[in-house]
Amino acid sequence: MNNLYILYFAVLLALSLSSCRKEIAHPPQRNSRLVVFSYIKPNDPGNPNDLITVSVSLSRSAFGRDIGSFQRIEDADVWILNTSSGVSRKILWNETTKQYELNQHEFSIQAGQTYKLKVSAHGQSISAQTSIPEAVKNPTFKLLGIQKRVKEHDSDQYRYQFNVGSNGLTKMGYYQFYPKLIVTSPHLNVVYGKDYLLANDHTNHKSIFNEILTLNYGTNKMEFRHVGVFVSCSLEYYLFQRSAPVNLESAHVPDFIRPQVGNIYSNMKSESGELDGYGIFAGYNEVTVAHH
Amino acid sequence: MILSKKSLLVLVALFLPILSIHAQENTLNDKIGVNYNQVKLVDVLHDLENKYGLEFAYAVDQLPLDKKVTLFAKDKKVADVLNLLFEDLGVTYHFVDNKIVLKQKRQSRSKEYPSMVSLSGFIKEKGSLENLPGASVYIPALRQGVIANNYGFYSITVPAGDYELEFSFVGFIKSVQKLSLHKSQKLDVDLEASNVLQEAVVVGNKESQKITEATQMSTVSVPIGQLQNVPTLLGEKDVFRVVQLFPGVQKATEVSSGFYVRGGTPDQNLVILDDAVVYNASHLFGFFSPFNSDALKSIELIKGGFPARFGERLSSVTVLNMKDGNKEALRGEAGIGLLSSRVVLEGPIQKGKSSFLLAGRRTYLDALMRPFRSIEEGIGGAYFYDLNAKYNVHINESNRFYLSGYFGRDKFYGAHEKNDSKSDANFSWGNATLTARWNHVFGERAFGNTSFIYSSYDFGAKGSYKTSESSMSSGIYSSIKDIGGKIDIDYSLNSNHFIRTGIRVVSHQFKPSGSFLKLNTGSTSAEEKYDSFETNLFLEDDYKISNQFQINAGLRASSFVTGAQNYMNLEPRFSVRWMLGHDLAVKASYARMNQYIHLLASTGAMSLPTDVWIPSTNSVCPMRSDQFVLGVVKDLSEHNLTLSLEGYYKKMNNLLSYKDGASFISKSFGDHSSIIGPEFAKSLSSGDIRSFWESGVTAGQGASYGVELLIQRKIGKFSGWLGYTLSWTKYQFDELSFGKAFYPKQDRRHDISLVGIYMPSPKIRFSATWVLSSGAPMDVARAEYVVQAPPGPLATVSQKAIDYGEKSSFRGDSYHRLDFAAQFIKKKGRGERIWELGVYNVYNNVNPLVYYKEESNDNVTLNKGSLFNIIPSITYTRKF
Repeated sequence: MNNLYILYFAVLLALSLSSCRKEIAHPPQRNSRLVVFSYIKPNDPGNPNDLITVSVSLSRSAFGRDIGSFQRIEDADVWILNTSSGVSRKILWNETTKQYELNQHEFSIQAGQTYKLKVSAHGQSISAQTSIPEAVKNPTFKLLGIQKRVKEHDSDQYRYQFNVGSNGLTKMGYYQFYPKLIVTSPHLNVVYGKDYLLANDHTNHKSIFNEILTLNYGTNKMEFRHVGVFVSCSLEYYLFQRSAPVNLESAHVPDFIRPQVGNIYSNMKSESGELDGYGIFAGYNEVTVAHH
Repeated sequence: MILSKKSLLVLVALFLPILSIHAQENTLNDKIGVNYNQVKLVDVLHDLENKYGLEFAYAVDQLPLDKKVTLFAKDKKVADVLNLLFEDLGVTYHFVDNKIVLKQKRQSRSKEYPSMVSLSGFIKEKGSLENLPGASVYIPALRQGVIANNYGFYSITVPAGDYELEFSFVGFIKSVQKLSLHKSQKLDVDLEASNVLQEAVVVGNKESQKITEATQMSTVSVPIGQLQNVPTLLGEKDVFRVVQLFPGVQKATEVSSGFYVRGGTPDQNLVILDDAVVYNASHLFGFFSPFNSDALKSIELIKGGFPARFGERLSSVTVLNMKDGNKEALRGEAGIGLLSSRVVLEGPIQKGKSSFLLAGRRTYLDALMRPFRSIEEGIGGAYFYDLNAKYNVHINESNRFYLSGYFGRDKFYGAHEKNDSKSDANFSWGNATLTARWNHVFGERAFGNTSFIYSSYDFGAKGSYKTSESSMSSGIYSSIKDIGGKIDIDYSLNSNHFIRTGIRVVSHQFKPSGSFLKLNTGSTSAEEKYDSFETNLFLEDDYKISNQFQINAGLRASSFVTGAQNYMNLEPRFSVRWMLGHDLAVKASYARMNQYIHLLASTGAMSLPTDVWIPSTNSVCPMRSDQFVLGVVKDLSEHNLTLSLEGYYKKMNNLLSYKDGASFISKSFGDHSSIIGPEFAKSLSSGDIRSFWESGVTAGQGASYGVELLIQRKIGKFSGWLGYTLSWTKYQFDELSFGKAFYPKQDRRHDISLVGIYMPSPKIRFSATWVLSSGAPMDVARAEYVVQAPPGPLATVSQKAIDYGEKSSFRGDSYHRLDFAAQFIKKKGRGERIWELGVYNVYNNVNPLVYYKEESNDNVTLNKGSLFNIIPSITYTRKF
């Protein structure tokens, strides 16, 4: 009987050893391309030092030797242009923040206007265009209740129910809403709830459940306030917000079990109009409503 | 436009009989020319049939067929030519059902009109009395034949006369009987299994096995004997792996017995075992088919040109029939393989009248490993088993009753004990079907079947943890359960019309997800449930317009109700066969199919039991396909070969897919795993959880088109087939890939299968298969970059992004493999023993199963992982 076992396991061992792997000689590759991110919104009257920021870096190939790092580019030529007025400004590198910055009192961003961003570096030149939508009118944000959930590790989980809406959502518009918990004491901390993206939505009022994980400061000592953020999105901003989370969250999921994933939307085009770089230049407008 | 097409088809079906009357008149008035000089009457008749499409029916012993005639006519009406031809021969003719029926004049009666008679009965296997579905009855003199239905029943209606009838079936010796059919009668025929080596015996089958004769196209029919000879992985016979060797059917992955048919996904394949739907047709994540091939009698897969009696899925219907059980003697078969053992036992309960069949299979890897580990070290294992059982009784000439069931289950388990703590985990899934059927024969022309059917599929995962102070157990589960019935009627209206009609009703209960948690302090549970009701009605007619021209026209009406949502659809079906010569036919078909239930399948290499069946709802519409097929078939009778070439175009709408990033695993174990407690139950009951899958899926459209070539030899010392498919499949979803069309994973440009079985003597069989298919499209990263997110929730997730290029733009490597098997058979008493030696992947090709990234030092590589390289196997089978 023992001999039978030995024979049986010898065969199974042979089976397990028979599985193997082989390197693919020519995996898909793409040379480094410019990666540009810039989100613009109208000046906040309460903050005269609002900045237009642009980050510029390089992508790297997914496979190969010495694929390099995601280096920031300091010597790019970065311009912003108001296509309606024809006014343009160069945006300059800030060594401290490692990005390109322009104060909005030098170049005003306004709702209803269209802007173009041009970036040239390392022999590549890309540009993108976006418009600034009108802000959401008459937003409402009502906290309906808070339920304490099962305690997990060192944090408490709370479930919030909000009623949000507006009289001013247009059927052809793109919107984003998310709640924000701003903890002011004992430490400043911001916790975001799940965001909701609406496109061409006919419903102006929604009842939304949200879970926000709060740190376990001890509820007696904690000071906080709830803020509802209503964002009017340009199409570029909406498509980016819709496509980015899945791609980013799955980047570390093993290939074998990864669900199907799409690319992140980009509007960075070359002179010929082909999508050539990565990133987004997107306009938006936001209104916040506090609930105390 | 769609309505007008539907209307046209319905009108054609309704008015074809009327049209045929006009056709008779037209035929007699057609002008023809003939020139015969001392030509035998039989040759004259054949010539008129071939040249002018006339169709004669006569009893061979009643006409002077060998008499030589001389006739010259130019630009004369058919009626005049026939009068001239027959006036001196004493032959009269009359039109009956588009045929020109010839009779010898009788002196006593100046005028005689032939009457129609019917012959019906069951075709069975001699020795076991096993019914033979698909067996054929053929009358050469009339060039008319029928195929026995799933219960071996046939009915043929012909003009009264004396005929020679041929009863035949692949693998059986043809039975030729001379019958004097002057009144309707019943005749049961027993066919004797042939020794396939005796090619001379089966050559006679040629006439009745022609694929050119059938209207049905796009059909794969695998003789069980041939299936048993095809080499397979580890010697485990698998019906679906054999089906995958035919053109138009492609394997999903190497480890999966799931398959793609003409660009459709595995959930678009309907698998029916004894009238019951089997929902998850695989064992061990798809390594094995759920069916023990020893218990099966017949397998047929239809991939296009669907007759109206089939529906419910977009891409294919696989009909499997279990053996009834030997009614004459107790017989059995047992086999031992590397992974599993199997046994079949069948025999009479009341000799010649009732019988049983029991078939079981179980893997034993877990049992063999158990002695080597203790519970403290942690034990675990996996196994599957399946059991087929059937009882049938021949109540009387007109009534038969069948009760059959299938039960299969897979189980993964683990347990561990340490000090005072004890933990265990179980993961299991399984199918169960139960079918009760009553056959009733109405006279000589009609056959009815009434079935009551139960079918279920479920999976569950649960775990528990116990200490002396506390205990906790939790689990998740999903299931689908069907209870229903169906009535089918087959009716041989006359020699030209064979009508089928029926109704099927089924109540579905879907539980896409459920969970429970038990703690010391209390427990909670929740589940999502849908109740749906599906009804199907169909009517179809096999209409033989002439020897050259035959159609199958039908209409299927379907209804699906979930909650307040009610979907109703009409599905027209139409197939036509046009003979271009003795052994050559052109066929065409159109079929619309609707599918009301969907499988939310996990992505990745394996088909997981966690794939969830869900119904169409108010926000998830039924899938629909329209398929057009055009083909040419040729019988090369002298070589026992059949050749088929088909082109198809299939348009699919409302296809369902997970949105990017969504999957059952991420949703069930990710988002909701932390949501436990009363609120979760509350949210479930309020319908909040329901949105998790409805909001996670998106609808799109697709199209598949291609050509398929099949050259097949089913009988003889050397048999097998060559299949080749050239195809394209494209999908387009508004919410995937920014609306751009893409190639889904089932798109394979080329697919070749070569199967050869050689039997040099009754003691030895050799078989080999070679397969080649193009690589599958997939998403593989080509670049990476860092995202600078705007303020908001997105800023909290990882900022490394991946660029996959155009969706599904990376093609995996081609798959190719050679398998070989040799069987050594020896007679033992009244049975035999078979040693089978096999080699899987003979030339050790590294076939891709998964692709993954690997980083080492400064190099990042893309690798393909293969599961099975060269694998030898040995199997022992004993038949008694």
